[in-house]
Amino acid sequence: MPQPLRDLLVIDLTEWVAGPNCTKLLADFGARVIKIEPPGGDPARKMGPFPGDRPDPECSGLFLHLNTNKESVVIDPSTAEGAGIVRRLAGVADILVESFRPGTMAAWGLDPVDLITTNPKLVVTSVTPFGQAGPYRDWEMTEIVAFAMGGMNVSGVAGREPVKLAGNAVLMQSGATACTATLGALFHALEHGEGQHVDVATFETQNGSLDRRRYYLLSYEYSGTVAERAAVVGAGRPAAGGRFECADGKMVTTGRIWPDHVGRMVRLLDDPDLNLLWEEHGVQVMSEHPEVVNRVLAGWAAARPSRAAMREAQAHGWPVVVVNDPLLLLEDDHLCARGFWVEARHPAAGELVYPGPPWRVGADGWALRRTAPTLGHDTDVVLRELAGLEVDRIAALRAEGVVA
Amino acid sequence: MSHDAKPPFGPLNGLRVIDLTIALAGAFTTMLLADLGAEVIKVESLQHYPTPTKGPRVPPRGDDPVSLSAARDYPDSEPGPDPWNRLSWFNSQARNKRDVTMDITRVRGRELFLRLVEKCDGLVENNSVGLLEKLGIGPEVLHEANPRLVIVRMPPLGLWGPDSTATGFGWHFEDLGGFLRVQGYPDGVEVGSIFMDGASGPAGANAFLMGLIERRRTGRGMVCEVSQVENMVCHIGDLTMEAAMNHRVPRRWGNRSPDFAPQGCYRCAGDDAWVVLSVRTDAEWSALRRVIGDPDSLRAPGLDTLAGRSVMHDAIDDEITRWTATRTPMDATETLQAAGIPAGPVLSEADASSDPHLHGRGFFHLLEHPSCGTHFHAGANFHLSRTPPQLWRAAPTLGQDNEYVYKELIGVSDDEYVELIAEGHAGTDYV
Repeated sequence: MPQPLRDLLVIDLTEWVAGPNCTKLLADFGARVIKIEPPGGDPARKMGPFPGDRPDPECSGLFLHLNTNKESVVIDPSTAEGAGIVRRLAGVADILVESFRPGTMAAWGLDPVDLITTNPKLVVTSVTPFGQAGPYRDWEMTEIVAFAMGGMNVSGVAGREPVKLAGNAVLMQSGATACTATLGALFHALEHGEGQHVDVATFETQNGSLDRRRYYLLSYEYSGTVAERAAVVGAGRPAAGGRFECADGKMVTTGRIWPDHVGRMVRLLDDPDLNLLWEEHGVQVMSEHPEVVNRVLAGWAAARPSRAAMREAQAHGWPVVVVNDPLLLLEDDHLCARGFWVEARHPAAGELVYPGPPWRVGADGWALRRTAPTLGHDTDVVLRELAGLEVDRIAALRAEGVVA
Repeated sequence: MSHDAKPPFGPLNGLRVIDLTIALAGAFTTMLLADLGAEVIKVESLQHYPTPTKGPRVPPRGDDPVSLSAARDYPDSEPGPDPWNRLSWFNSQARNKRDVTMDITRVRGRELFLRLVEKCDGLVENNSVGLLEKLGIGPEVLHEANPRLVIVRMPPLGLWGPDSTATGFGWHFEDLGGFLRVQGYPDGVEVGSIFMDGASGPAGANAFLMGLIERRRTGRGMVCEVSQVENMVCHIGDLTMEAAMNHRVPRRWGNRSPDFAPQGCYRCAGDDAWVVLSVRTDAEWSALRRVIGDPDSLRAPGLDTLAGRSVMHDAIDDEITRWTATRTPMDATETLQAAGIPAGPVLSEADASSDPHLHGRGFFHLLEHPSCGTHFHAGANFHLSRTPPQLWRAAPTLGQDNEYVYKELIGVSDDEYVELIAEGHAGTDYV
């Protein structure tokens, strides 16, 4: 199936993580995304990881991940000429996404209301930390701030400080939510020819997320109680069960073993000691004789490779899975069989391995058409073809530092 | 029209989506679609009690920790005679949805279900692979009934591949997805999360919306597949990049960062009170030093760079804590933010529920529920200027929309409806 967003033009004025993930999803499913970067480039270019740990604005792993399939055009929108070019591009676009501090666009003469007046079908999405209005509007946010203000209180171990999630997961989820809102508004524009301004605040996407926070908020309204830290962690540290090393040196995990699954586990393990205890205690064997359960589990795991252990347990209706880290993920048998990892060559960073489709529309719909752009890679083509500027004019603007 | 007619609103106004989801991930997807104005109809069966969605049928009662922990999810900590209607787990995401009951394992129920499918635009499910086929409502059957149906299927490991039939809970898939080895305290103590459900919601909604956009061109529906684990892995794409680029497992950074220093979570005045902050630039570092009183120990020139501050992070943390320990999280945040430093209080559910910014933006909505009473509910996760989301009703009780769905949508006669009640299709109590 051809890509679902194939005939859309998106002007992307986002930086860092959340906004770029929104436009990445649009680009990966076929939209033409013109990423407008300031002369210094998206600040995410300065964030790692870097190959060999050598900082290079063309080799940021974070930037390379978040900016696939985009074209890079360097324009300084804070100049009158630069803003004029952005206005011209917005006039022919379907979607414009931006992530500046509220009021910045208007100060540059790029007020979303004006852009929509000029191009009535345009969807303008603002992806910002706290949204376009409200007392915290001008506050700054990073990944840890985003999580702190929406769920970090339950993350960690009781008595210790709360702890954030891996990497930049919260900001990326906010960008994915911004994509939902943008596609909703786009659908309205396609049906009715009417654009609008979409206001996405990470503070709200996180407090409204069902990583439990939304549910905990209603529990608090219902009973006045607050979830404890470790409420979701306890699941991973049972007295009986957990992680066990297999014959191939990799691990499997049983997680916390659900009462319904204990009998299936006992039947599969078929250990004389455990069988006796199971007959005597039933499910209580897990709390009364965890050392026996763990000994038998360890012996069972050690006798087979991790993938075989997973499949054997799963065939018996007992949920056991292999344990991965990001390195092991790259060779995960299931993900590799599905062709999830996509290799591509980047002119500066060399060979890259990209995560593949987060979802498929029909047969596919997702494609890595090109790796993330080097800074200003597409400035000339876009200014000529989309903004209608003559070559001489582009050269003059370049000399003035308006474009690069 | 039924007595609680959904007002026309949102970009998906006029579109109807069947919800065959369990637990939270798929339900989060349909919530987002409902907030965009779709009419979401949750289809349940009186003969099948859905514990993962509605909680225990008979919740534990007592003073033991398990019972007390379960009770907090019910109004006034009281499960009541109909706990399935009173569970925050379900009610937090089911507001704005409808609920109909039919037993699709029986011939008549399946036939009614397919009549409903004819009236719908989408279907979302996150059951284990093969369940729809087992029920005789696989995609071919659904598309025969309605070729325009956009079907979103969200199994944890996708619809195909060697381990696609593997089952598990969130904690299994976080470990399979590589999260736990890079998440938690730097001293090695791991911290789980249930991030996958939060990530899957927007993914399913995005897949549906893209399918809908494609359907505008072709007039035909399709099956959209969300592999929840693969989508979750995309959210740590920077870390898999690091693994691939440098052939190593990324460090477990805890609250610190390879890009910002200092960064951390600092104890404040009060019980379990914390503030977080990040210093992204050397200018923010100067600002932080000024804010915390420019202590002598932080004047060393080596601290002017990220690398220098990373080496001395523990000593810097001590100085920051000295300053935060006498302030509330909000006081500390306001001072830090005024100086341009990204900072925020760790907000509990209680704090967020009274947060002036969230209330000022209209994030919370008072909704009345027939069994639970009136409570604030978290609203939509986005604002749309011309087609704003509306919170038009609290979560439906079991079978609350039976009359509407059967009589108004499917066109069942009054006599036939009485039969459906007698046969155990339509009803408001689990059998």
